[in-house]
Amino acid sequence: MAEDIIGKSVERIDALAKVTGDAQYVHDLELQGMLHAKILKSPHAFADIVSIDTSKAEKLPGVWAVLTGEDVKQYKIGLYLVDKTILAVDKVRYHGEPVVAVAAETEEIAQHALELIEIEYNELEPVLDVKKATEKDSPIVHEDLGEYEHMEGVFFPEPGTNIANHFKIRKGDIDDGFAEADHIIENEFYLPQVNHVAMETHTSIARWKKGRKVKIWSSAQSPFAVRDLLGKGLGLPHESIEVVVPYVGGGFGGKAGIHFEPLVTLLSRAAGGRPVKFVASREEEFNSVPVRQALLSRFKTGVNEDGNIVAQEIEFLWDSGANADYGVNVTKAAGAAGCGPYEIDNVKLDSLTVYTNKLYGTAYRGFGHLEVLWATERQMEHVAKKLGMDPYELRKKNILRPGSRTITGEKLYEHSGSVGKCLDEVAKALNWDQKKEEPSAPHKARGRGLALLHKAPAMPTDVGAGALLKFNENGSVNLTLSLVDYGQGTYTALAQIVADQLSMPVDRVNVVWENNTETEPYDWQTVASKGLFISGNAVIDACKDLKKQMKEVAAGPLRASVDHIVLEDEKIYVNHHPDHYIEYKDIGMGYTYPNGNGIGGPLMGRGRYIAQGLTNMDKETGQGLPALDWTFGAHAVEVEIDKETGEYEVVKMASAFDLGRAINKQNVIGQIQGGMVQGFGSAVMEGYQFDGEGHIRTNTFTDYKIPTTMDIPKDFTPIIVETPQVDGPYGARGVAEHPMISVPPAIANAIQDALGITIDELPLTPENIIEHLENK
Amino acid sequence: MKRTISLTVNNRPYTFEVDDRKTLLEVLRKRLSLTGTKEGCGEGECGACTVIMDGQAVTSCLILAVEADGTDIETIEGQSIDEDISDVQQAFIDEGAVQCGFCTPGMVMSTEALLRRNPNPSDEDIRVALAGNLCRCTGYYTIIDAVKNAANKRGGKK
Amino acid sequence: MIRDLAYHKPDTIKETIELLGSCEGKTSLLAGGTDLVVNMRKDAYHPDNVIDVKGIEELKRLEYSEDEGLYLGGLVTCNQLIFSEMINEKYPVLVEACKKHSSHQIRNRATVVGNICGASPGADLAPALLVLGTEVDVVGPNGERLIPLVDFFTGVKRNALEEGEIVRGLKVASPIKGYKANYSKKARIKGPDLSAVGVAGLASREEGVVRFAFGAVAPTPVYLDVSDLFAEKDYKAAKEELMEKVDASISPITDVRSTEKYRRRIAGVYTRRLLEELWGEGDK
Repeated sequence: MAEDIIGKSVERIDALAKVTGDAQYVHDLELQGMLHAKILKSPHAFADIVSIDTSKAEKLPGVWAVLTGEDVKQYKIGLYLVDKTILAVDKVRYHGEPVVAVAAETEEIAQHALELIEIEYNELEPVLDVKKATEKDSPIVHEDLGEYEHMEGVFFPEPGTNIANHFKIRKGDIDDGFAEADHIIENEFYLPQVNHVAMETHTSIARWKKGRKVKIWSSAQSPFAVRDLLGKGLGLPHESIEVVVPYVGGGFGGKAGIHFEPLVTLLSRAAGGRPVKFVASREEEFNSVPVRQALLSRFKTGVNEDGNIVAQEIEFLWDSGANADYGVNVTKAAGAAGCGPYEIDNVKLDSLTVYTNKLYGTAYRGFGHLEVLWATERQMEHVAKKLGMDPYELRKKNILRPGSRTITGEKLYEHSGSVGKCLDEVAKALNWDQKKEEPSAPHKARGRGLALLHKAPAMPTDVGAGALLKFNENGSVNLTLSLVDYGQGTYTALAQIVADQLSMPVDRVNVVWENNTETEPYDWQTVASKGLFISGNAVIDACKDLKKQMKEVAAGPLRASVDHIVLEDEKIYVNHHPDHYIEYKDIGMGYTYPNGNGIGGPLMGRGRYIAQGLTNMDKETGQGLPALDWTFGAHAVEVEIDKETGEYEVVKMASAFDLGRAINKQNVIGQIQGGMVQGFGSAVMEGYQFDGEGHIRTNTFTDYKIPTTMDIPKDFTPIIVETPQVDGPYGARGVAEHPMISVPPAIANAIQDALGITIDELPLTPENIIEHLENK
Repeated sequence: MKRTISLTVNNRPYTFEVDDRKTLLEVLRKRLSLTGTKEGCGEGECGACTVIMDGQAVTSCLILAVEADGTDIETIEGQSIDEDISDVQQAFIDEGAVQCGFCTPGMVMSTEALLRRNPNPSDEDIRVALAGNLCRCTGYYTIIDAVKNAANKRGGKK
Repeated sequence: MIRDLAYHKPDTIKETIELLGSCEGKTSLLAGGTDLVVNMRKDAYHPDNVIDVKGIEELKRLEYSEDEGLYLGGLVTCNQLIFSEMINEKYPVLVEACKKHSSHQIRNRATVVGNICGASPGADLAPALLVLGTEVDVVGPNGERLIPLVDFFTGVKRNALEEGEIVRGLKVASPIKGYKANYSKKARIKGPDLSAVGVAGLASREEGVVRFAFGAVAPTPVYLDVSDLFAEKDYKAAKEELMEKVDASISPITDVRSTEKYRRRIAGVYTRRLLEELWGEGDK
């Protein structure tokens, strides 16, 4: 049993609750006396708020609280760059920004109250173009940027402009590099804002309690981040805030950080402590919660005739929208991976977070890497085309290898994982070295494309997490930790780790599902594909601590040295006397001698882990060690395109990831499939559309489409590559975000191969293809 | 306006007064506390609220509760008794077709309705039957496998 | 959130017409509700009265006879057509159109007549019913009348019904001898989506009939009977003229779903392909 458990496709521990509808999400929770919140949102992209009259709404029977920006303007919320108020203050900066909030006895009353509120706006010229936003004469979105608190020495806002952060990489000598190059290739790439589309919309309940305390139930990825940011934002001590996270219906980064929790807290306080619930409607999910940023990239690449890339100059203009709290970190983290998984000696990279009057940016699965690698992997194709070189060969020549240095100067080792293996695996799966199949009809064309990817967790250098293991009376254990499993399957993998470490069946490990900041050990956030790595190590540490205690207590009754005590199959014995044992259940709460003497007491394993050896990056050169671990991957895609309509089908696809070690194969495959399809959505169909005044045109499922069962590639092969990570639990590294990265360029490269057109903006719609074919 | 309706939900008869403007979904979730049926969009596009009404899969967010007067409704809660779960539910577990779980009740109900009218669905039949159920986690592959698995098991039982 | 309303459920058409006359404020008929309830929830439309017609037996008629053709009552749903052997045999183009209409769950509720009454420019059933030859069976306070479907659509989401009138059903002509028909739809995704372009074609060599109809490329569905063209000219010339006619008859717009230019292209390509499928050059 125990020795086989790692790598096994153990049934998800949450599966039964979910298939039966038994799992309770915040959506499903109701509290006694609960009020319902509704928000009135900005109809404009950029406007001064001239006046707000809430008097009629306040008088409506059943209304308990009405809040405007004026009531909450002293509170600022943020993690990296604190630029956001809870409701719009003086100005609205995007279409959909919350302006007034109401809490009432029913949703109907709250809705009616919103209709009684009168607001006068003075419309301003919105900043909608990220390029123009950086020009000198552009209107300024945040005139107070210079006063905003931010992580000093990590982020560098430029007051008086729309630039919220400027991240730089300087490696080698860019001028020398270009001087040496045989060819210089320049291109621009673009992709629009994209929504996370978690199936459960953002939902929070708060109950304000006497003594300036609050209890919150939230569909959050990171209970401690909610507690910390709420405490800092509202001036409440940490110990006065309790955050509970039950089942969460998907996150993908969209529920990282903090969202409506401060608003419901203040509404509950204003309503005299009655609990207040806010459920974002799907429309609000599309136009009032943050999204993945748009990105405009400019690449200039110097390459030698033999395919060796010698210099790369890059500018990233991130359209961060109206707030840049999270956007600044995306800019930094993805900037640090800006050249893709290639070794390039001379690099100059500038990554700018730019304010505009659009929906603001946040974390989204891949944390900037899908955006950045859209550009790098398209640029590789342009380079290959220019040189007349096989795109596989060009990549193979330039990839990062053991001994290579990344653009931040980090040296890679054998155990860092292998992008080359991933590339070879997917090339093999698509028979890259053989001729393509003939198209199925004369008006169709076939093409194949490759794309590589890499990503390290984007997180502060000192991220840590704890884990606590407690015995139950029957010898089973409860594991508590505040990493949240909102679908990734991490809890099942952690249960497998505990089962292996403690030598017990996995069904005797109960991972406590509901998260609570009052009772569980700290974790920074559930983001960045660092969950299994950091919490896995913390759990192993907790198991070691527990085993040590078990041996110490057992040493007495077994009359042996702890050095010779073995734990196996829920039994503790001296190694040469396996038949003389103590069962776990007889030691978990302390051991009792036949005469009644008790020793040991209830055993608890404490575990902790913190990222080790990471450094901040230098302000001027970006050099440093930001990467906990690198997960590499590759996609290969074959498409068949209708040349008359631009409609196409991904007829075959394979994706490989070097994830170190799969703890649970079935769940890993599930992550790869699901991530790939999200990337497929970004590639093929997704993207916000705005009108000329900055109004969102795609704020329902009728207008914003995501892949359905009928859209996904029918022939998809996920491939697991396992180069163990020295410091990962059982050699594992993260793979939650990676599957969606580089799916768009893989498809675009296949389209290029089929039709000879170079499409450098997403999504890859049939319209887009026809447009390029017509202009060919 | 309000009126009294009678309906059967998961084989249990109910008669109660309901507001004309309430949807079946709201009544199931709030009035009958059957929160396994989810709301993902409120516009009939995501399928999270799928229930079986008189034998047919429908999106309960687009049906007024008063329209359900005299009907027979099945929800996810009716698919299992304690630990005794349906073969569709077991197939979803076995194939790893569950991630965040928010779409899962709707998926299970759509699958149940499909297998009752078509015990041997082709790949295409499955994709068509589930095209109105959005899932953002799984990419659908394991869900399609789960439907096939359940169909095989059900075929085997006959 | 739906606003307060009064719900009525009459048993007969007569009662319905009386209710339409007597209800105060805005009144809507409710069949499948797949449009109405969405609009009420979004607060895009809030009727004071909703008349649920699902209790009216007469509206459930789905009958076919060789002489009379098809009668498709107001309550017949898209899935009823998809699963009807008779429809699959006699009017497979209706099955195609219904399959492309929406998700399975919606098709269990959505009625064909509702799709027509909604008069959306992109209504998926309109092109197929137009090429088949359809009349709308209308009952009102002043009696009954039949409106040719082509005259039923009067503007974006506007139809020819007058105050107090309801659609009892659709009369679809008997199948033309030796006819073939099909419906092609362009949408943003392969799964359920509103139409960006819909093209239905019908052709019978035996009877010398060639008809096309288009959705989502003009404020109302566009109908073209080009039988004469194919009678008078040789195939190639007729085809060329058809293509010109299509381009001249449609007036697409650019919106979130597609662009004017692309819609024109697709309308053309789909028309040509349908023609070749239904009446190829070699067939003549």
